[in-house]
Amino acid sequence: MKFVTIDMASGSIRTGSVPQAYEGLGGRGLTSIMIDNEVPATCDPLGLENKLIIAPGFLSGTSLVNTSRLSIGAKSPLTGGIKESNVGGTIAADLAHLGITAIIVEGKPAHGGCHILKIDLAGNAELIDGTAYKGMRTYALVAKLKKTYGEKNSVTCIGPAGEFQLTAASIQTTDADGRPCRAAGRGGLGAVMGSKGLKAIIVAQGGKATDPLADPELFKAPAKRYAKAVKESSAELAQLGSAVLVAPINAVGAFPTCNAKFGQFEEIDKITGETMAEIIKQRGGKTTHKGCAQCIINCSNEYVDEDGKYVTSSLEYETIWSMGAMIGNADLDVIAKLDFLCDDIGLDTISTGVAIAVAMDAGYKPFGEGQAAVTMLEEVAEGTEFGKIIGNGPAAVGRHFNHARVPVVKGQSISAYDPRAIQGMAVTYATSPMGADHTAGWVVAENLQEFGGTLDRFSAQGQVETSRNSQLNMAAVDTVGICDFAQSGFGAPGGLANVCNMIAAKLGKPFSEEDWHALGIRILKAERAFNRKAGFTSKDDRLPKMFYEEPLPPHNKVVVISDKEMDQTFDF
Amino acid sequence: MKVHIRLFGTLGNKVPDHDPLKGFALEVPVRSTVEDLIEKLDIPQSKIGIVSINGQLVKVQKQLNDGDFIRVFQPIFGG
Repeated sequence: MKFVTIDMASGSIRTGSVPQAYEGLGGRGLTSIMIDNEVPATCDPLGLENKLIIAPGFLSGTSLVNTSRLSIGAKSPLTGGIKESNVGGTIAADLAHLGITAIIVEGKPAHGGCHILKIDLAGNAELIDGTAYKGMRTYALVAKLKKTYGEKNSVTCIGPAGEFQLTAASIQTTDADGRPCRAAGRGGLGAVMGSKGLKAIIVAQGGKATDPLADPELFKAPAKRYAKAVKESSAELAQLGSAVLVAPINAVGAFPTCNAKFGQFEEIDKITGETMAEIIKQRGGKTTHKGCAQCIINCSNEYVDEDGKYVTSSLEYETIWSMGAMIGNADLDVIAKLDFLCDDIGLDTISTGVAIAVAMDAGYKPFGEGQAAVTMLEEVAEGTEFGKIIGNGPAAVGRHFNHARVPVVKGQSISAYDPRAIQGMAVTYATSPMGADHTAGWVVAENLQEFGGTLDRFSAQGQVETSRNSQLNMAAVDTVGICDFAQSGFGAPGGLANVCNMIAAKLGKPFSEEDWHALGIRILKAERAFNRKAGFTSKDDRLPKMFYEEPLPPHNKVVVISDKEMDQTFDF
Repeated sequence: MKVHIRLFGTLGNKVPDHDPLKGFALEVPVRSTVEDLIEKLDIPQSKIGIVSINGQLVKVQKQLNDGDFIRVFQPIFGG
């Protein structure tokens, strides 16, 4: 249990034990509570007072499956509020194996600069001059770093977009095959890393200093039950990945199309998960692939071109939407190329796709022109004036064109569920302290009666309570570092008690289901407190007007959750 | 009468003749419902999420007509 703190102003590095106030925390709980405590809420997100906090989940590094999840936190330059961006790959497990609870990057160099942070197998951290890597795209960067420092390292890095400090910039991290294709995409944290003059973090793999469990026996049985339940329910994700969602969400009319003018995409059959899997199979790619350490689901894939050559990994539901239906593009090869470019340039695929959609909606280019989207991304990498506007996300594009149809909350774009067709997502998008974020409280299944949900998806009834419960639960899930897709493990015999017992086994003291709920409340309170101090009010917990005023075909509904109901989401 | 069915996700894995991209056509007795069709294909009801006929969402009790295009989706999960 140790913190590694890097002061980028002086270049000094401190390694110390975790302060008592943060004991028992990991992942989002740690990043959000620390930021609320230690970062001045009114600070410049790209200034010296902001901190970039990188923390594996509390259960990362244990034998529990699907726990290589990393939380990266800071004040967001995109939203102006608190941010936790979550990513898989291998780094979370690698840090935990070195006994590192968090890396804290503070200050900023007075005269810019480009640095690499390297953490070796003994857990020693060193700041290296990275001038030779300045301006590099992530794939070339990782190849060069691995050549210099060895294959057995995970690399977490930014591309040109992060160096330009653009607010849709991601932080990319390497997958199980060492490619920088896993993204902490949301909230522009790549810009924060860029502002600190930090190009990459290299973490040695194979550490032997994992925090010991206080009670290893208590851990074993629940971990086994949890893994069994995950394995038994992962067939669809293994076969099609998250893209399994494309066809059904379109079928229910909730797939935002052409900047959310429609809820269904006419050319959907060209971009479904089923189509993607057939293309990959025919070309000799991988439909099933392990992207993250300790994963037993294998929801990742490797998309290849007609010659069987690697294009990108992993092509996901959200990107197929943002670079597909949202911009009217039905060419999966172009979607895959755009996905690769975002990873390589270091951009959030969701914010960037929606930024392109807003530009197209404003008349800059016609919907469906995939090649125009490719050109826009290349402009981001080149740092042209328009490229910087795209790289700053949809709200910046809306301001540039004086265009009002911008589907963002707190400056961050919605994702692939239209809130007019799934009212529960309206609550999550509007009220999450993160800005619009589907992962903050995914209440899609609860809204679809055909899938066992009990709510009427076009009605406000029950939506606030459902979203609240989901958001509180996710805050705790993101703290322990369990993958979103592995939540099927909560359905194992024993349910939540299994997870609580594993936490207790690490903590060395009881941890009840009440403690789990209290943890979620503690985190949401800290995040909302930070946002209040930063200047947010209940007026920021609203969707843009388009969702209240423009009926969405084919169901022709608008968002019906009232402001008063929105304000009851966090009534604590 | 003849209808066309397409099974999404993993639903079609064990159904002979099912093309994952196109589905397949089959003969069903007049007045068959979606439920009858699913039973005929030996797919457990618990694996059925939403069903659409010619693009419109329907309940599984819905009666089929000659030439219908039926799409069947699995329950969803995720984020």
